[in-house]
Amino acid sequence: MAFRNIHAPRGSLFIGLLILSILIFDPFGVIPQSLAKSLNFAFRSVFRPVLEVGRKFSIDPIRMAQNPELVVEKAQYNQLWKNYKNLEAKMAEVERENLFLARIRKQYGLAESGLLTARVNTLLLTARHEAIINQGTQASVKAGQIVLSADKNSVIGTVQDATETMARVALITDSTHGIEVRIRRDGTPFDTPAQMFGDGKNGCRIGFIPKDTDVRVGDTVYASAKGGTLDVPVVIGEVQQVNPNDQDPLLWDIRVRPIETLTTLKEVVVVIPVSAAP
Amino acid sequence: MRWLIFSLVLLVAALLDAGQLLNVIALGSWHTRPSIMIAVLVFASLNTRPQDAIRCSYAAGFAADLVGWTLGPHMICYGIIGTLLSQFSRTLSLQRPLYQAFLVFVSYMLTELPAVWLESWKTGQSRPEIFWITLSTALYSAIAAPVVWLVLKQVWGKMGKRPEGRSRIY
Repeated sequence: MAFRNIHAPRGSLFIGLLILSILIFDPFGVIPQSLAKSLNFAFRSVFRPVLEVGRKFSIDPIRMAQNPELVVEKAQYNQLWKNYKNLEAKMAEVERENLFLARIRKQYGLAESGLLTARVNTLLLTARHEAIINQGTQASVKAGQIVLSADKNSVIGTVQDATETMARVALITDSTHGIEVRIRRDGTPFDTPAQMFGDGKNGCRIGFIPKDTDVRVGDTVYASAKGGTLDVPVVIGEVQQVNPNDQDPLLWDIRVRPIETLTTLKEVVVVIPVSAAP
Repeated sequence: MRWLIFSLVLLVAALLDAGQLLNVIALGSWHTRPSIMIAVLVFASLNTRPQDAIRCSYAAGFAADLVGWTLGPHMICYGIIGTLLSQFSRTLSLQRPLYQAFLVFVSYMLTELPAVWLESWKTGQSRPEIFWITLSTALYSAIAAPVVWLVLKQVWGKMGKRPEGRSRIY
């Protein structure tokens, strides 16, 4: 190959390649960031079928029995099953209604549904918590859009980057992912705005809440409604722990348990604001 | 050295690191997975001529950057560490799995921490607990290293005829 014909001294070769690496790293931001991301997306796009190998396997079902929190008694299971089935029937009814309304919207030339279903191609939960989905800018997916679970009932992340046919979703558990939330308690007027970040593991953290705020375990955490991205507040999870902050005892360190199991994501729904729809 | 086969090894390592298959063996709440690319870097640096080792290291770094979302940080760190390893290749004897594991552990820590720091510096996104995540990945990679080493040794043997009287694979 061509490499074999280059006979540079060892030192020059090392320095030359180091300079090339620094140029590619581009510390001064000369090369557009989108170019590097396009290369990453191209790699994932070309090898998508190979990268998806193992998607069906999940270690969670194997571990389920070891976690007592995930096991319920038979009577409780039957009760939950009945509730679930009733809810499913109710949902089918609502969906029929939704379809009917969507047809009406279409007839009057209004925008169609702002929800876009996408399949998760790759799911990584290591240093980064991210999912690569099979919808991109062609389907009006853009950075900053909110991503819901397949049942459209809880927020699981935000679109980070998008190409024509793919997008990268930062999950709510990613340590760099931040989202505006509201902490609420059912049946009470308690409603506190906050900023929530992923903890890099299976949960999320809320900081900067003064200690005189009455936050309790079990309070519900919703993603705040925000013009242009989310029309109504959508649930994310519930408060799992409320401890004093180690660094600042006047603040709470709140741990949030996401209601969605992110390790088994297969399908998601992207909220496309009406203004972004084609 | 046969670059085509080396490229295929790199591709497989990159696909494993970027894909979902290793999720099956992910451990703990951080979903720690072993890094295959670091084992390829250490193996290639120690088993090729110094000049090839330098090229291999930068190529492995580029492949590691393709797995992530920022180009450059791994290329710089892999290049430096791979070159250093190739300088010590005559004095390092890695026949025993324990030594292989130790070297992979040290190499992962020395490449990944600066790479993450460079990435954070460029993107402005810092990750809390990254040291512990890196440490756990380094440990897991070290445990997996002897197995990867064995596979690489088999593949490497097919990369070209081994000259007589030389200990390293050319």
